Amino acid sequence: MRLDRLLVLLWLLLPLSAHAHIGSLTVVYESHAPPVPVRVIIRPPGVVPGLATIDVRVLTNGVKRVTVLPVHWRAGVDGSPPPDVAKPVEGDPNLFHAELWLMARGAYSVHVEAQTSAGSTKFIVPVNSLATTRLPMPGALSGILIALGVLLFSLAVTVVTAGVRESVLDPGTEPSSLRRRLGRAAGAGAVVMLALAIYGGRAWWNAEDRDYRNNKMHQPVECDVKVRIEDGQRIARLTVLTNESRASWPGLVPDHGKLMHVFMMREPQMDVLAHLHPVRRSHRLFEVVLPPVPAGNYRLYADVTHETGLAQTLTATTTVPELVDATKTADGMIADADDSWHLGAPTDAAAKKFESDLGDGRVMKWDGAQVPVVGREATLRFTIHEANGSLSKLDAYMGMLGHAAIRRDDGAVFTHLHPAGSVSMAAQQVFQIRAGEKPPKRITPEMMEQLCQPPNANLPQQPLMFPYEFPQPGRYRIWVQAKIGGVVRTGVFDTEVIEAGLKTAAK
Amino acid sequence: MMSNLQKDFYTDFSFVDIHRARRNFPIFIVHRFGYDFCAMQSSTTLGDLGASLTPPATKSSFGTPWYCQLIVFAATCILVGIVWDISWHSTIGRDTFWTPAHICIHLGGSLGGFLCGWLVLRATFSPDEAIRGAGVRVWGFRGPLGAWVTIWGALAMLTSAPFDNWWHDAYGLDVEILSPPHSVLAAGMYFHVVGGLLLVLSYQNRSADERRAGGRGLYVFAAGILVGLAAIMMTEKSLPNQQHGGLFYKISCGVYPFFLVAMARASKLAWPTTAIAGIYMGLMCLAVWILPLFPAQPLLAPIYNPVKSMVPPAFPLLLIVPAFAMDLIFRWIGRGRGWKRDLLLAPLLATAFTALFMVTQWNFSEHLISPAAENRFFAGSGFFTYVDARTEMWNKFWDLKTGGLTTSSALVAWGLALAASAAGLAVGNWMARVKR
Repeated sequence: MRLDRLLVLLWLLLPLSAHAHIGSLTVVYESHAPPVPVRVIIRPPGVVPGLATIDVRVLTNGVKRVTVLPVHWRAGVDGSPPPDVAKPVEGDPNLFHAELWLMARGAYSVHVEAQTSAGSTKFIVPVNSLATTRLPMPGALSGILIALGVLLFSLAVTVVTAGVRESVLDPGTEPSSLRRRLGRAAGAGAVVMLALAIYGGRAWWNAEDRDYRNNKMHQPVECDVKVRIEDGQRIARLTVLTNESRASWPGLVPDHGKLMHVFMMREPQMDVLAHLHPVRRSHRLFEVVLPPVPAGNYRLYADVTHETGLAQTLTATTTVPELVDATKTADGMIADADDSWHLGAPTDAAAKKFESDLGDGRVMKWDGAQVPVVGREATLRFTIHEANGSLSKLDAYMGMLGHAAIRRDDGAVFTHLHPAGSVSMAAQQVFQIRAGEKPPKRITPEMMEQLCQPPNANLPQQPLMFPYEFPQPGRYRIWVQAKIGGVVRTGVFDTEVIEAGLKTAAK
Repeated sequence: MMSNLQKDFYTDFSFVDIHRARRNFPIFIVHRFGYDFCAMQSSTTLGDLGASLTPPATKSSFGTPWYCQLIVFAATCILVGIVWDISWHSTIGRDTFWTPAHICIHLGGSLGGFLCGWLVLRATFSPDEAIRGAGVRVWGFRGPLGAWVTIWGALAMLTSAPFDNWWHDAYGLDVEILSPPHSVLAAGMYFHVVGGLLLVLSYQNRSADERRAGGRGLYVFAAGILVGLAAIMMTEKSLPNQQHGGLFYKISCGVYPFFLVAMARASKLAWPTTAIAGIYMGLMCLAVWILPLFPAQPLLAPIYNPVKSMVPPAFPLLLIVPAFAMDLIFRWIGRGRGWKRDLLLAPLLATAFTALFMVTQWNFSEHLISPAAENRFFAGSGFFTYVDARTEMWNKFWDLKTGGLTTSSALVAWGLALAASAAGLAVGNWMARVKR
């Protein structure tokens, strides 16, 4: 046990990156579809198999019953048990809670049904089931186990000694000196045997831990990014660094029309953001024309969704060179029409902390009245105003009212958000196809075309709201993008996220 | 001229037994192995512990004291609980601390722990010198050796609970039998049962009547439970589909001869090895036949095998075949002890076990993975869990190319059986003398 503790002390609580978004597996989904608008938060455990929690907040009254059902992508609905009933949370009549066992690695979809007397709403929330955390043993538990271990060790040695010394004697007979010596020798032998058992146990534990780290924990997928200048353009080539097995890199499906969404941020100031959509050149090779962003070191986050429904964020760093000759040739590579970029950081003025200048007199305002708290659901609410103070009319930007990118200053947390939350909409659509009566084994080009349709043509207008739950404390930067008059505008904000229970005086 | 075998048969039970056997065959069988349940229930009371420490050597004394019965009941709870729990995980998947299977295990663990704690306190503070003298001294306390071992087992089981819980949080729910925290639990359960075994054994060994010692049937029953626990811990390497592999025979030959020889050596029955193997097989067969009677369905996804009832274990190993041969060897060589005799016994027992076990299990496993075994009796592929998608591999032997049984692996298995038999004889010789 003592040796085990030494091992435990070496462990770090380190939530590793690289899954759907960086730094957290938690997904938030919000639907305003009648008759039951809902917000769903699924918090996977970070180990597999493990127990995820799911909170379903109904945004209306009269909900009688909420059921939840986890469906593994490979097994499908037929390979799922009966759904669980989410129980109402005491003191919050609109919140329902359940726990879900995620038994296998990979993509799951959680089928949620909310029933009212007026009807029921059914929807699918995709979630990744991945091992991402390493848990240290709490000090108290470690102490208890060491105490029990010492007790077991000493009791075993004493019992062996006593057993050899006295057990074969007739009742009432005192042991001879020979038997006493034999007992002591047996006790010494027991010490050796137990020490060997502990040593073997430690080696076994180490091997299990190694296997967990190397084979069971989700390994971050990285990209190699090289920027070349060609025909007066800077072209970034992204090579996905996976092994050669196609099983390790299943086919991709487009998420709101794009196979890959790349967010580039200049390091370390985070004063430049580019939201790009590379084109696929081969199985793991993508290229994109860089917009006129300044030279420097950049960190890239690339969101992709596989046909299994697994969404992941690939990471990379690269150096962007200065564009010497900006004369673009006629046969140069054409940038994606939805690519956008922004230069500038939030203002330092405290009075303007919740405002971001969008240019042309427009301003984006954040209703940041509440200090964000770790692990607590929040609605990030923004409004965009014209120079005269009226609300701007927003166009659809890739089928949605807006996009947000959230990053902690050290890069350990990154999320690409939509008004529907942090779920991959492509994964949601893949699971809808798979939930049909005859679920396909592969996603065909026809199905992909269906996935390419804009998710929602009839957009609600402002305010622009993003449901989210900050996974870790720290300083965050938030970029909010919306399309106004055919031009993508980006507002930038900074915020400090605090642990639950801390006072909010800092605000 | 009667052989030794015939002599034992005719001297070990009377004409009355045969008459009774005609009326009630199961009781006859049990009685033949030296354990009369009726006598057991009526022979002792809660208050006569002191008197029961020294078993009366009368002919009618088949009974055992209540604490022996209770400790074996606790051991049975543990075995039943663990078989039930594995079935639960194979069928339903989802569980909590309060599943019936867990309660059964904890009932056995705590019952044994508290009972033995009481025995220690009683032996320590009793004014009766006979009770105090029948214990061994540990940290100033006195108690039967078996009680101490069971207490250690119960403590280990207790220790495994928070360890296992943390393990689930750190590495995910371990849906495997062999993991570090499960091994602590298994060690606890083993020694819990070993303690019970020693408790009954010491009672048996104190009997003045070698032939009709009290507790000899209960001892063999506990030994069968211990073999069952050993078999369960090796389940993942002992499936019928693995029984043409070298690893299966190496593991089996390295383990079962030790248990069978050690416990048979200390037994006072005429056919102890056969009885122990028979009890193991009987208990496991009951699980094979009873569990599927209860409808159940998986409650966790993904489900690749939509089972409709509780999943049974695989049909038990036919240990009774080599065990019978080992009994014949014991009877042929004789029951006397001594290193020269043991030097002869160990290779004979190892050879008999290895050869017969290999031949029996090799052929029987071919039947078990065939469609002919897909019935209620053999439960064929019934042990596959809800996550095991049905494939052609269900009806094939696995890993034959990389780990099939070869001459060299068979020789290694024999060597392991030899070591296990020798160790079993040594431990068994000691066990046969345990009186406290």
